[in-house]
Amino acid sequence: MKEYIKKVTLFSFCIIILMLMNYFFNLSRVNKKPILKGTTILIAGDSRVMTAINPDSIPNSRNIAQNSESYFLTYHKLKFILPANPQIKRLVIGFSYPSFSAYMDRLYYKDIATTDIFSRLYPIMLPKDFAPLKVDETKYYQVYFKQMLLLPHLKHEQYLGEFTKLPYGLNKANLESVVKRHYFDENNKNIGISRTTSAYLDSIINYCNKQNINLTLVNIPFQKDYLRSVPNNYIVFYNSKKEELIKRGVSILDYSQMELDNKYFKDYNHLDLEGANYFTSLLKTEFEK
Amino acid sequence: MVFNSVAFIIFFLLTFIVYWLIGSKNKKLQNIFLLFASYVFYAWWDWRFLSLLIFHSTFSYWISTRISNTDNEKSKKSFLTFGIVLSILILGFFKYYNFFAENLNQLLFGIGFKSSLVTLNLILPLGISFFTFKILSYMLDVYRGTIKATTDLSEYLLFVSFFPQLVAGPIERATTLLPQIEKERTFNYNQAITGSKLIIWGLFKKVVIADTCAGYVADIFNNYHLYTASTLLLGTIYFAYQVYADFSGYSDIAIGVGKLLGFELMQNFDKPFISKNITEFWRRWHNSLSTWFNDYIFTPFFTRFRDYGNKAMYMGIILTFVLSGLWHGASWHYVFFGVLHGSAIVVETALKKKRKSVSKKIKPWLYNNLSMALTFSFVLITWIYFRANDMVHATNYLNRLFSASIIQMPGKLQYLPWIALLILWEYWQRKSEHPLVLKGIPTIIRWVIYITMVFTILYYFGQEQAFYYFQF
Repeated sequence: MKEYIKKVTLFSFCIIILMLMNYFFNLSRVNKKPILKGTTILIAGDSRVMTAINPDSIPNSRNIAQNSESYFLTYHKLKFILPANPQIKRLVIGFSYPSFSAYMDRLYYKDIATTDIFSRLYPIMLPKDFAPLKVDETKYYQVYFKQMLLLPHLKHEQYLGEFTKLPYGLNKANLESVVKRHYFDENNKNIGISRTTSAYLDSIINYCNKQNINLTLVNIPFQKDYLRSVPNNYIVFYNSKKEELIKRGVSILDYSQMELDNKYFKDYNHLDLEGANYFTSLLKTEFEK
Repeated sequence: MVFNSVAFIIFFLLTFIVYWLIGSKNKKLQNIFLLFASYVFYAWWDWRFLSLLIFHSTFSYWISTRISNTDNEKSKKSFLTFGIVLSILILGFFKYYNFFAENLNQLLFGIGFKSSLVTLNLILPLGISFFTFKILSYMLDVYRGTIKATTDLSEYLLFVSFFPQLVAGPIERATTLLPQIEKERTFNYNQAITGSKLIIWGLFKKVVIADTCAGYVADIFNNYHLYTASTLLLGTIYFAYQVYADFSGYSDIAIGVGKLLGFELMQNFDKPFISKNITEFWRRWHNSLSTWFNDYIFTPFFTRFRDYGNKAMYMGIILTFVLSGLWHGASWHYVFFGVLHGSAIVVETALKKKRKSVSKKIKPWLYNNLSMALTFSFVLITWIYFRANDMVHATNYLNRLFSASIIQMPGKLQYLPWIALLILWEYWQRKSEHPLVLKGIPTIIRWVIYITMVFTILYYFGQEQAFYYFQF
């Protein structure tokens, strides 16, 4: 027994030493703020923005959008990135019906996206930063320890997304499931509007005003079948929020009702590469005005 | 509690320490403690069903004692029948009642009668098929005189509930496990090292291979209408390795945990995908179940009807595989899966002489490789019925699989390297006792491999997907 315990202890000791080496290496790099050299236009938002705005077509721009990103997450990302990048003068953020759905608040607790979100945000957010939302702390620390103990990472910048090219061809198979995920809970009850995410949009606007950053909110085109399926309460809230923001002087480009051919869509709410290039060219013209 | 959870790691560490602190000299206390630990392990899932496990095992102990203590052959038979009927009723109620009610309602409706047999919202007790089969084999063995009924209730309860194999096998026989429970167990260094390596290898297969593969398989099977035939083919290969890595991984962990507690449990898998025919496949796949069906269903059936010659043999094979299909789940697609495998074995048996003469005309390496490829293809196709939600799902999947897009480049290729690693690793270590023996490799490199494996397991750890065979 003694010999076995000795061997197991030695084996565990080797593992712990390696973990500690990784941890201290990662600790020295995890809080480094990213320097986005040459970027003056920053594009942020959820997967719709991630797949719709091609930064290659807009000079000095960078798309850092990521899927399932709410205003709550965008706010924390911007607070981390912008102070280190004073050259950024314009911020483009997505603005659409699902942006205000309360499903955005449920992503941090036992959702299929929870692990993915934590593995992006652990360098910039602690569980307490997720208040007032319900957060799966165990999952957070699981992700944190995995990222910090198991491998040495030169960069901890998973929170920086990038433009994602979606291949051509509309996939029309799952409208019901997409609409359900965006607006309904597991019992098919309308999830409702998230006041938290709406408040964080206000915080982003206030922050940009303070930093003299020109903010533009963009609603990207939807495939018409999806548009018809959006529950009315989201449309009503979106329109009233839009009206309120315009009154406050926020620039809003709303392409949601734009009739786009199906060839520009990968699915009901994401543009494919051709759609992204077309849409970015429209946006570019708008920015040049 | 699943093996791939933090709860199990803590549970097992505590069990291991207390178990060996009690010491082998206090065997009775050691057994009682193991029984207590096994009940904690089971109650962790749902404490309400612990009473069912205790009742079922205590009842079968009483029956077996009665069988053993009676000299009257008629009484023996009556007790055995009573024991078997009650065990099957318990299993049947939880596992097959809804299946029976739904099908009877449909059948009666089809012939113009109204039937109102209600379906119940039943929870299937974890591992019920496994521990019921253990109990059945014990009663039958006592009746046949293969073993003497134990007179120690706690030892018998531990035999039924021994936690490493309680919920997903191997379905150990009393003839091999009870003597180990009855004797003193001493800590053996080599046994413990082998056990530890088996746990690492089992966790690697479960956490890294099976759980990662599960996502791809679920996506391909649920959205089969969106994928090309070549991707569907890949989906079936992924499923084959998912279920293999999952179940054999569980068995390896169970055997490893058993070794650390001083027990030797039976091997349940032996490189099944290199089988050259379906008969061989079932000798290599879930061996503890195959031998159970062979000993308690096929052999008695064939012996009883031996005068009918081959007909009895073929009927016995089909019956065995239909029951084996039903054992896996109360659904027609499992039954059909069983029928397909049973029929294949019937054909193999009928063509035995012909196959032998063909094998003499072809070069052995070609014959062997062709046989392996054919067997693997058959297993892949039949496994679609095993994985599908129902018969319609399986048929649609198969229809799409046999279409022109089979020649297109498949999607979802990114998981293939893990499968390739598993195949190559098992091939490399095919002559060893288990794949982490790594004979002839310097200690330092072996340790690097083990540590890398532990890090990879930890990296993928946390999904805590239930083992595939838990549903059975």
